[in-house]
Parts: sequence; C-alpha cells; structure tokens
Amino acid sequence: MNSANDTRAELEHYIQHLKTQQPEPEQAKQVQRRLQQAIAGYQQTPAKHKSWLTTLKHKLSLMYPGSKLAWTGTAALCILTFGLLINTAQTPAFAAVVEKLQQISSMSYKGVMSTRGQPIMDLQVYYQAPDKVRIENTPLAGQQNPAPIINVLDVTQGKGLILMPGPKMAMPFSFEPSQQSMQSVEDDPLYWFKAIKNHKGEVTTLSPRRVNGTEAAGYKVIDQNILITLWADVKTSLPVKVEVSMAQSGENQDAFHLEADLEFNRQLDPQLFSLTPDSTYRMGKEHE
Amino acid sequence: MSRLHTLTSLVIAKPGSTSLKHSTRAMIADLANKHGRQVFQTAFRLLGDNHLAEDVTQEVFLKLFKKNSQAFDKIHNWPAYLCSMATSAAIDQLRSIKRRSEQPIEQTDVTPKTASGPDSVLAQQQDLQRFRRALGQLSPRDAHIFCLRHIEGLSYQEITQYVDISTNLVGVTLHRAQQKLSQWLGESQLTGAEHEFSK
Repeated sequence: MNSANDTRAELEHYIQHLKTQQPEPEQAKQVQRRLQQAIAGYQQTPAKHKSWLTTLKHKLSLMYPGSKLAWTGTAALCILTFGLLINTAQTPAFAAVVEKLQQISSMSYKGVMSTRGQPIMDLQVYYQAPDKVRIENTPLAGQQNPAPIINVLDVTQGKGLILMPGPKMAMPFSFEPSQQSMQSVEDDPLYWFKAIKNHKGEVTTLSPRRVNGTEAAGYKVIDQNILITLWADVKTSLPVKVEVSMAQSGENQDAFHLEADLEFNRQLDPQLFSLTPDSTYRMGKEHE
Repeated sequence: MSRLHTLTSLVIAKPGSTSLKHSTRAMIADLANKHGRQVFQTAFRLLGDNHLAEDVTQEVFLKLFKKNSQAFDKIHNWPAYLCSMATSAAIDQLRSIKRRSEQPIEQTDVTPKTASGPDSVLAQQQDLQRFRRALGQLSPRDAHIFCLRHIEGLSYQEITQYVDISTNLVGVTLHRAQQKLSQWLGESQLTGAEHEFSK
C-alpha cells in the first residue's frame, strides 16, 4: 500500500500534467475574436420579461404570506421551464438538422484537408441528390502551380470519370455502388454527410455562436473514431460548417482533418456531373 | 451544457445594441481583451476541449453584464476573480459531462509542454482523463477550492475572497479533497478501467 507521501506525490503528478495543458494559439485567437463579438452583440433581457414573474410571485406571496419559499421555488421552476421552451425553439434539435439533410436537393462545399496539422489539399465538392457527386482536389504542398484532379461519380450507375485539367486527360471508370459506402473518411468526402444522417448514438450540443456570419448551433458526434462537429443555422437548421477529424493514437495532431463551409439547395449546372468530357480532353482507357 | 449559459446565450441580439450603458460594455470588452485568453486557458486545462472551454469563457464574461457598478468596484483582482468564475463553470461542465469509454479525439486539442514519444503522450492523456473524471466527482465547492489552490495557485486568503468560507475551512476542504482524489486515482489505476467513484 502506498504511503501518504507516495499518494501525495502521485496526485502532484496529475496536477502538474493538468497545469501544462495549453490550447493551440490559433484556437485561442479565434476564441478571443468570437468573445469580443459576443460582448458587442449582447443585449439584456427586456425588463418586461422578468416583471410578470416578479409580479406573480409578489401577488401570490401576499395571498399566502407563509409560503414565500414555495413561491420562490415555483418561480424558479417557471423560469427554468420558460428557458427550456425558448431553448427548444432557438436551438434546433439534432433530429431537425438530420431531417433537413435528408430533404436537400443539392450540396456544395469548399474546404481544406490537413494531415498532422499541415494543409495538404483544397477540396471543392458538389452533390446533386440523390446520386451525383463531383470532387475537385487541388494539392497544396510541393507544387508551384498545382492543378486539380476532378472525380465525377454517378453512384446509381456505378460509373465515374477522372478529369486531369493539367494534361487534359480523362479516364472513365466503373465501380460497385456498395464500394462507395465502404470508403474511409479520407477517401470519401461525403463520409461525414452519411455518418450524420445515420447517426443513432450520443450527440453533444454546443451553444449557439456566430459561424460564417450566421447564428449557428453546434453538434458533436463520434462515428467510430471519427469526430464530426457540425454547425447549423439556428433559423433554418441547415448546416453551415463541418469539421471532421480522425486522431492517431499517440499523436498530438489529427491524422486527418477536414474543415469546410457548406451550402445547400443551390441550382447546380448539370454539366458539373457529366460523364462525358469536352472535346479538349484525351480519353484514356477505362480503369476499374 | 449549463442552462444558465444557454439562457444567457439566447439574449445575444443584433450588434450595436444601445440598451446597455456603453461604459459597461466597453469595460467588459476591455476585461475580455486583457484576460480572455487566461480565462480560456483556465477552462481548457480543466475541460481539455476547445468548444466547451469557449462556452465557459463566454459565460464568464457575459455574466458580468448582470453586475451593477458597485459590484464592479468591489473587485480588485480581476484575473483571479475571472479565473475563479471560469474554474467554477468548468467544474459544472465536468460534472455534467456523461462518461465516455474513450475520448481519443478530444485529447488531440492538447499541446502538452513535455512529450517524449507516442506512448508517453498517450499515457499522459489517459492520466488527464482520469484526473478530470475524479475532479468531476468531488462536490462543486471542494473541486472549486482544490483547483483554485493547486491549479490557479491562489493563497488560502485569496480563496476566501471568492468562496464564502473561512481560511481554516479552506485547509480542511483541501485535505479532504486531496485524500479523495488520491484514493480514487490510485484505485482507477489499479483496476485499469472505468471506476465507479463513491463519495
């Protein structure tokens, strides 16, 4: 059994570890910026919202002078219930966000993919419900004038097209639609989209804050070992931003991280999803 | 998520509101400018999560709008006062967070000052998880006093300014909290798994 000194030393070990924890400087900077925005935008609850409760409490205490404590408790319960009702109205339930995602006609997003803290790729994704996807990957590292590589997929047909605008080459390919759903988070830019729609487990709700100029509520979901943080407009319940990360065991930084701004239900040019390249492209042989 | 914080966040309205005295808003903005990062760090150390720590940070400063000018004048040590508020709010969060079996993703927010190899970092992260869970099991006041003393480095006298308690009782509370934490942390290491703490 440890002596008192041993246990004290052990506790000191935990305390010292905790004291060394620091957030990322960039994160602290963003938090500071949002804090100032929140302070600038803060408005006190109008007095009339408090006075009806105060008046009620006062009137009841006059009628029943011996029960002030009970009425204080009742008033507190009313405030809490009122707050819960407001909260339900102001912060959409996760289920409402999922329902919106089930109903979209299109999605587009622009994001940055990083690995171990280093941005490696710009990503532009277009999705036309229910089955058409266009993914434009532009590498960020190691090239002076990086050219995007474009993948166009028709999931129902199981057909796709790779376009390389640099060398002007195009390569058709086929795939089993079921293979698309088995891809990893790094390979499937819609992984998070499907994970959110199918999620049945715990959801951590984050309080509303301004994201991309919109008052948005946050939802954190863990799907296997992938953390997805979704920010949804409190008015429309449509997501405005997503962060996806996958940690690597024993590493400080994420093995994979994607941060993207989202738009929904825009009219997308059908040509984006065409499996026939224009005449300037040389066609390669079908790749399976 | 604290209901008080949720209620507070709901009243954020259009920027440029003039219903509050400009001086109050300016004063709070100035305090946030000077001490916001420190408050965020205090919350982050206890919670290990950027989003939750940010919630606590905003809660601390927005609560200041509810104070009158006399209350402002009474506060002489703003860094200590704000960190005490942040500690209290973060402890509330720790107590309300549901236990999860693994939290590898959240720990990636961490920047430990010392790290010597992947196994060491992983062990440190697990230690921190255990410690945070143990803190969440203390009573709010015991945890608050413990953190003010050992994490924020406040003296007994300073602690009595922020917790309604005598100096003697600070010592007793600390001793009790240290004993409980030592016992729980020792037991959780031995079992090597989730441990049901009993108060």
